[in-house]
Amino acid sequence: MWSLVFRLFLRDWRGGELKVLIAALIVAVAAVSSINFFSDRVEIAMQEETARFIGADLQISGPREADPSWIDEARSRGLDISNTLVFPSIASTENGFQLSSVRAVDTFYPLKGTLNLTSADESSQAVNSPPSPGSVWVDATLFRKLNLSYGDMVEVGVAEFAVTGIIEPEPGRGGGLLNFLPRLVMNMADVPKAEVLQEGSRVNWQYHLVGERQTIEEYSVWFKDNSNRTWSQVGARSGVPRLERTLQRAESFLGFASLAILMLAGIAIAMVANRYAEHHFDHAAMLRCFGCKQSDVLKIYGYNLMLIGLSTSIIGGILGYVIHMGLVSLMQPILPPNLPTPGISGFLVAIATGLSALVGFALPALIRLGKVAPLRVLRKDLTPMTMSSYVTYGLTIFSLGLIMWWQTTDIRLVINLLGAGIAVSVVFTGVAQLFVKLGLSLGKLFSGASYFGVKQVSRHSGASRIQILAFGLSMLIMMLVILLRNDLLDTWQAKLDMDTPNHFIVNIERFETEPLEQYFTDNNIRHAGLFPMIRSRVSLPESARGSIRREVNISWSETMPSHNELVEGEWSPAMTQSGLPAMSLEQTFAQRRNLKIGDILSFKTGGFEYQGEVTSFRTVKWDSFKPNFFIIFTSDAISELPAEWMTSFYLSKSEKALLPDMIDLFPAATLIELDAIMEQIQRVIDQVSIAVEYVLMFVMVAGLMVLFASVQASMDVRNFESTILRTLGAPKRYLRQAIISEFGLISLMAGLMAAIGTELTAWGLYHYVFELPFSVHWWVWVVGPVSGFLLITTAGYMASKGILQQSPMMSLRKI
Amino acid sequence: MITVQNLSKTVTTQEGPLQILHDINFNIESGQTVAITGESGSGKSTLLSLLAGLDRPTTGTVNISGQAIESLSEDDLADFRAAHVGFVFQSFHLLESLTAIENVMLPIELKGDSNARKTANQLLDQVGLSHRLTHYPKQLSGGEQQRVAIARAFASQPKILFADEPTGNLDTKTGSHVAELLFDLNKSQQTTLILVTHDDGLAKSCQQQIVLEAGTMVQ
Repeated sequence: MWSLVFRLFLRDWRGGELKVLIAALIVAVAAVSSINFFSDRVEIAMQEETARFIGADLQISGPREADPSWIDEARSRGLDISNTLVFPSIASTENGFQLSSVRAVDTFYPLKGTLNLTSADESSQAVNSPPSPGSVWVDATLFRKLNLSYGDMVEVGVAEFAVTGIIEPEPGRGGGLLNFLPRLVMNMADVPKAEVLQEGSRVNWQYHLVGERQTIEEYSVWFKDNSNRTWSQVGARSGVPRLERTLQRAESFLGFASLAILMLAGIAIAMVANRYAEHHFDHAAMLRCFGCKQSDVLKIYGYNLMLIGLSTSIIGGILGYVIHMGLVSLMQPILPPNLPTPGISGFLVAIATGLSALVGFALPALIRLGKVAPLRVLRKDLTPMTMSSYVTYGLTIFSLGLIMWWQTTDIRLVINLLGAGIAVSVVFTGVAQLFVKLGLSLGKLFSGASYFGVKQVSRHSGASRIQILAFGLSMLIMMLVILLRNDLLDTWQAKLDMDTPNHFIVNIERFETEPLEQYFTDNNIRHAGLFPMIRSRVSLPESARGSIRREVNISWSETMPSHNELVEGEWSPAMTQSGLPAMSLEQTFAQRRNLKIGDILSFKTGGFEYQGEVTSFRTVKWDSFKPNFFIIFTSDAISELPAEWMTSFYLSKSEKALLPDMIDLFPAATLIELDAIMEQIQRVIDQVSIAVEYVLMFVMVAGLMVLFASVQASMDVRNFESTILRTLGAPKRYLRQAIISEFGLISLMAGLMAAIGTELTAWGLYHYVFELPFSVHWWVWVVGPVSGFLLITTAGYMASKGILQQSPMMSLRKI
Repeated sequence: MITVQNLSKTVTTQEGPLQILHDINFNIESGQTVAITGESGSGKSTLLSLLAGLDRPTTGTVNISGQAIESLSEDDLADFRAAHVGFVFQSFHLLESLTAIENVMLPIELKGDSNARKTANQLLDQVGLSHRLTHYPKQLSGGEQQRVAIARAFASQPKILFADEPTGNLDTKTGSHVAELLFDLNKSQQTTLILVTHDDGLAKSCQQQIVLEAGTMVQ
């Protein structure tokens, strides 16, 4: 049997009948494997960025010393640990004092990455050990503010330390306001000496862990299960919020694109496999006559298809690897050096994808082949029954679902996509039926060859319906991917436009607010608005869940910040009916604590106690680089409380020269420069955009292949009819016109349907998956029908060209 | 060798049940040549399909070498065909994806015989096509295709050879040449030959004739 299988395989490979199936599989496997290889890289890049940012693979932090069992567990898993304490403290010299963020580090610091230290001789060097006991390092801001020189003594608590170096933003700095205060790094051994920490001191205990990726991820899960909510983690899959969301969206897009390619390839495979089966019914009947059992026939064609699947998947896998290398070289600037080479598993995934796509989509056709009755050798009309549509579609959808699940491991996305796909297909089938009927009426508007062509649509109503559906679905998928790509890129670009602030200024005193605002105006600097920041302890009402142990920064503003969005209630500037000041809460903050509109919260700031009533909920864009608050009082009721003001603003590279001037004018304020991080994000976005374009190209190729496959699949009947018509004397011109009319009508209908479907599906995807704002895309309504008409009609015309050019006799012989 | 008793076949049509064969009875001895004749629609091909185990009768039995084939399962029928039966068809039914020699090798390989190529070579030589071994069916004339089909039919050394209008698609001269070849091989291999034909000349060449009229055996 194997020699027969092998001969069939060689013949099918050479013969050309399966070229569309082979091409579809190669494209699908190449796309999926390159995207897989590539996604791994993006993930590594993301983790490396995060690691660089936090100075470790994983950082766990909490308000007290970690339970020793957590540390033992990490050590037993082979992870390296470094302990850091972060706390605010006053650093003072004879020149003045400054609230600073002190980081006390142990001997293992830094666990990952190096520190760039500028020493007394002005040379910058990379160091990977902590400051020696008795000495400290400070950042440039603190150095400038305290007017320090190398070797000067700075007082922290009750002890004095020598300043031996200036540090650049160091690993482990992380986010959070405390971390944006001027930095002072000291040796952990010096902490008791300084006597700065007492019972109730505000200390953040940070533990940095480094180890194998897999172990880190496992420990991260273990830690989540074994710690409480006061402990948080950064690393593994969470990190720099802005970068994380960008990369996650990119990954979502790539994942969606690879699913789109799979779906397109699947449609092409199903169509070609069906045609292949129909062409082999006689073949199968003969084998049955020779004594092959049903199972033997199934095996022969099954093995043949497997061989095709295997060989194409290997080619696709290699191609995928080459393409991924191209992508990697394009993204070199954001990828860490010395990436581990992808292992054999990438190829195995590629092969498994190809085989499962083939089995899933070609199985119904294969089963039909197995069911061919031997009697067909005498009676051609004995075509094996098509399986119940439910079984066929069920099998295909099930296998597609499995492949998608395997690829994305996101069961929600798969169910949503499949659900949307099924809904769209059902609606499309109905609409296609309607369109076919419409074709019947439209026919009356034409005459001659065009009339014949248009009438063909309803004459072959079953085939026309399937074609409209296949063309429509594939155009829908292609347009959807283009749409997503456009909006994704636009959103990224828009988010990092000129207005995105790249500097924060905090600790602004009340009397400085007006001069600062004036300074911004004079120098034409756009800022996000000055917001007061009041530190307060918060007590929740009894109906709320949990409590808030730490102080919270609250603010007040008579108008809602423009980068917030009201989702419930009203922004009421006045007092509420109960005579309390109104306030607005951030939505997730409120939801997590089960707070409702009308709830009353009590506050304590210094010696002052006051209350506020919740009148609205807001959503906040945390990655907007603008001041954001969980709680904002909507009137000036608390304006007399002690407060510090803050804002963020944008400075171009040339405007950076203004900074020293600004620091001199507002010496108490703290300036935080974020432009380096922003540039890094911009670089990531630029590179990921290129990857998105690459993937888009794949989708287009896969889509065009489906169009070609479905045109090919319909050509048997069309060519037969054209041959008969030519024999009966129809001139070439007549046939050409008829073919163009028929394909033209079908493609226009499919294009229109695709436009409707694209908009509906896009709305769903934007809303639920990508969280992007949706608006109607007018170009879809033009490009859908027009490009459909041009592509499909051209493909149809090209496919029938052979018949038109041959003599009728030649064509008849082929029937 | 073949005993047919009270054989009937009824199919269901849109207009109701249609009886194609009525109460057919006959015996065929081993090594005999038999022609089934009759007008179009008389039930010849249906009778052939029942004899070859390609279809099942509504009533009656077909007993071949002591085996009632209508009682066999689909898989047992396949084994039966593999072991005992060869076919030649009006439209040749060569596999277009295989060359002439590969077509002839096919039934031998399916039997698991390792000498497939040698046997196929000999058979194609016997039908005068040793110079066309690697040609695909599309590259052969109708007569040549039928000769390949005959070589293929004898390749599995069947005990019974069924031929459905073997000369029906060929011109008179080629047809008689093919028929001659069929009878020669049948004689040398001592096969029982059962053929359906419209051709009186071919029918008369057979030792026994079964004539059908509207599904009833008249001779």
